Amino acid sequence: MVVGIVVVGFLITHILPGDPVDVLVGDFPAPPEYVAQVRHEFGLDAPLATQLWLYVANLAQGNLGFSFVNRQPVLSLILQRAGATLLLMVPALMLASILGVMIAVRAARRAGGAMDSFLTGVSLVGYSIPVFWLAQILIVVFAVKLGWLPAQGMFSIRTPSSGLGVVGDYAKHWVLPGFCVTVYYLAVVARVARSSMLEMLHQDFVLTARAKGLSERAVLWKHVLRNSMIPVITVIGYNFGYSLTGAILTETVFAWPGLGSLFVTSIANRDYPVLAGIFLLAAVAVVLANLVTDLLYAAADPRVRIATPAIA
Amino acid sequence: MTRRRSPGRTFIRGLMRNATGVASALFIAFLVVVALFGPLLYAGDPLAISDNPMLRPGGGHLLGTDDLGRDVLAELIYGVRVSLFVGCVAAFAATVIGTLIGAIAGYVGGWVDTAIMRIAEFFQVMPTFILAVVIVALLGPGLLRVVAVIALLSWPQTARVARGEVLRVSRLDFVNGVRCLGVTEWRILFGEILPNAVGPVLALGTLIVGYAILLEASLSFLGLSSPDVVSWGRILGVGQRFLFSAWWLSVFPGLAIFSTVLAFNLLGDALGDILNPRRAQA
Amino acid sequence: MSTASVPILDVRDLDIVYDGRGRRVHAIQDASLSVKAGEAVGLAGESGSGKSTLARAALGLLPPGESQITGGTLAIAGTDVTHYTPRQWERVRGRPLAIVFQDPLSFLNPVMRVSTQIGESVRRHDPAADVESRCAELLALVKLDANVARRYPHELSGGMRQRVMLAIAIGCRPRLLIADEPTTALDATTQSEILALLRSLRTTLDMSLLVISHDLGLLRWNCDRIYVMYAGHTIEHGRTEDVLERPAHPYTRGLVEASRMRRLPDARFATIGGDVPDLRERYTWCPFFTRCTSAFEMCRSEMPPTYAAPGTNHAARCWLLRPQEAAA
Repeated sequence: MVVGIVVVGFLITHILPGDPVDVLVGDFPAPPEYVAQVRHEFGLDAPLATQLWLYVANLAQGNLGFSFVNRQPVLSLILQRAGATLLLMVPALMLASILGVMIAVRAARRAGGAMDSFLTGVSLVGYSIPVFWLAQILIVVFAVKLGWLPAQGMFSIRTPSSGLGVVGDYAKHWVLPGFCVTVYYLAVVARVARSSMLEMLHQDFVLTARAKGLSERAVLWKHVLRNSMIPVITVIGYNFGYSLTGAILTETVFAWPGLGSLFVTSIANRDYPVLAGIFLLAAVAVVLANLVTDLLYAAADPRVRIATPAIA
Repeated sequence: MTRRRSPGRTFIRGLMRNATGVASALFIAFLVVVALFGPLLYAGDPLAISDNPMLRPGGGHLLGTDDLGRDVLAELIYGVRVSLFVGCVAAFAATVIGTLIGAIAGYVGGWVDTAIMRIAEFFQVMPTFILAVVIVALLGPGLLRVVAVIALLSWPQTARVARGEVLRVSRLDFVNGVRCLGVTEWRILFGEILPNAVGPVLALGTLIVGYAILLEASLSFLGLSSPDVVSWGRILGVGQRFLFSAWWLSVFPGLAIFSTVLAFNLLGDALGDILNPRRAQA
Repeated sequence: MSTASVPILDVRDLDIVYDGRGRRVHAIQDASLSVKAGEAVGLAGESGSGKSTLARAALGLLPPGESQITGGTLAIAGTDVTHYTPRQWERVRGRPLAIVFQDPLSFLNPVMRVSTQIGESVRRHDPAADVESRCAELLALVKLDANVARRYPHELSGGMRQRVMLAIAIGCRPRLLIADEPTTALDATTQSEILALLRSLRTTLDMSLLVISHDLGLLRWNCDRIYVMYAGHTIEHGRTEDVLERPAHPYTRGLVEASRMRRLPDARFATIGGDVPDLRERYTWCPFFTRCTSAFEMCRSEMPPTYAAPGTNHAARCWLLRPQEAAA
């Protein structure tokens, strides 16, 4: 798995049209010796296999390559921008997950009722709407026409350097992009949670729980929820894993200074090492998220754990 | 004795009961018509650069013109072809590949199954959008490339579903019954088991269409589409630059994308409900 | 009236209608049943006869949106619960009435340990007790090892799960335990173990039993009285020996003969011909008419009332039992 990811990452950096050296050297004609020297420095003149080996070795040391365009190591570039992306995605994902589950619980209890239709509607819309379009609409309505919220960026130009003011500024800037991201993930979580809950509500063990004389609330929270949230955990974990991908478009529209917008500008700049680096990061994030999700799943569902032999 | 209904009739009946399913199917049919016959309404090349950039909607240009003076409505109409093409071909490819692989994995079992599922996992982990962007950035834009990437990274989903269904159905007794008649394994798989697995696979395939359309639109939005191709996303990308002045470049193409994807998603949901093998027959 | 003579469960002329997916089904029609303290009563019938529905109705476990009591009364320990709201039902369930179901794998919460699930009963009905020790006590009562407490349902065998269900039920301190097909999902050896357990619990805990089963043999050996249900009606009831040895209703007769696998003169097995009844209509005539070999004109047009049959407390709803007019 990881091997595969690394190989693909390598391929991106090295098997490509367009000579990175050209980008580095720039427009003016350079003497061939200089070009050769640059090539040698960056190991670009070695055979492909050696390059692959170098790549892997570098990776192991945390060296993701060098961004010729930005003139800094890819890793440090990524680290600089990662914070902003996290500040955008994490609150959004948490909000989406919590709200999604809450709405789903309400909807499932009165299946076919008002909340249920609302949920279905919202989740369909959230699932189908192009996030960049939603972003544009929100900007036009809230930033331009109403002027309530800022249209771009994570901070204002004249932002206070520290303290509550900064937080408030960040929060104000977060609202629109955060909402865009939340809508999609909310849709996904709510759908899964709802169908899971509906299935659980009709399970036999719920009958047993009621037969004991437990109150509806107890039945819901202790029995139904504990079972129905299991698939939801998988979905939420999945979402976290893919959050980098989800950030790209939103960050671009809102000029949010995170990895997503870095990714897009790197395309235009042909900054392949950065592209490869982000790709690697995204894939690793997914693998890690899956791992964590698997562990959480096993913790939640005892049937999945290493089976103990049934006592005769 | 109850009368036996053919699966087709049951399907139609189920579809009829699902109002949104019908509505979305009709909408999609409308889109197909537009794709096939729309260009008849607009003679001439929608991509021809004209002298009237950025006109507001109204007059000769119902929905305005874009930055290169092209009529937005014309672009919307021609864009239907592109979206439907990408969506349907990618989904079709992913579905066919995924179903075949998943069915074999589920039917044969053993190490073949494990190996295939590992490979599927690998493909599934790849961030589709990022990879698509990177490939297009590297190798240049092209609809087929986009379709290929989507198909390549979406087949695991279909494979999983197909495998699950094959596993479920192959356990049913009638399979052994047919086997006793001397039918070969291949024919059992394709003739008996797969037809029963079609339902969820079809529903998933429809959802993939929506996903593919969104993906293509996103790529075009970022400017990664071929200039020879009319793409709704591209117009939105332009609209991004002129957000505050040319609202029509944002509203209409976005609406087109949204409604198309919505229709496919609704249809996919409806199909999922109707074709669910666990659903009790009325 | 002393509490001893008030039936713990008293069902009279009950009508229950199921309203699902646009279909209306009269699942229970005019059914009557009662269980007093200290009794072991059986409820026999084929699948679809309504016996499970009746059992669940007795605890208000039918889905409130889809089903409704449209006639008759349901009383538990003297209190009329026919029109109880779900809230009110919460207070009645468990004690005095508890229920165990068949196939406990799906009836036990898969992600909760046994001790937690039993503990819930205890906490609910025995708030003063120490949960852990009471749990151990209950497990011992159902003849399970104490370390089962920490297990999950899927780690146990079928018989053990059924015992866990019993522990959960008796943890509620019920006066009447309803057992809905308690052994159908188990193998023969385990079946007899569970039944023996039920019998011993009955005496140890001074509990009444209502056993629901399609297995007449099971009911014969475990119940003092039995009821027979068909198409949502209770068509016969009485002392077990009377009903099974001298069945008064043609359906019961057919059932008994089929269960004995009696051979007809041409070596075929005795069965009851015809199809299961359609419950979409409410019957104003005898529901068994179409399959009855002894039927006559009256059976087609009117529902027979309950007539006495030979034996103690033996009665059935059949025109054949109508006392003939004295003269001519």
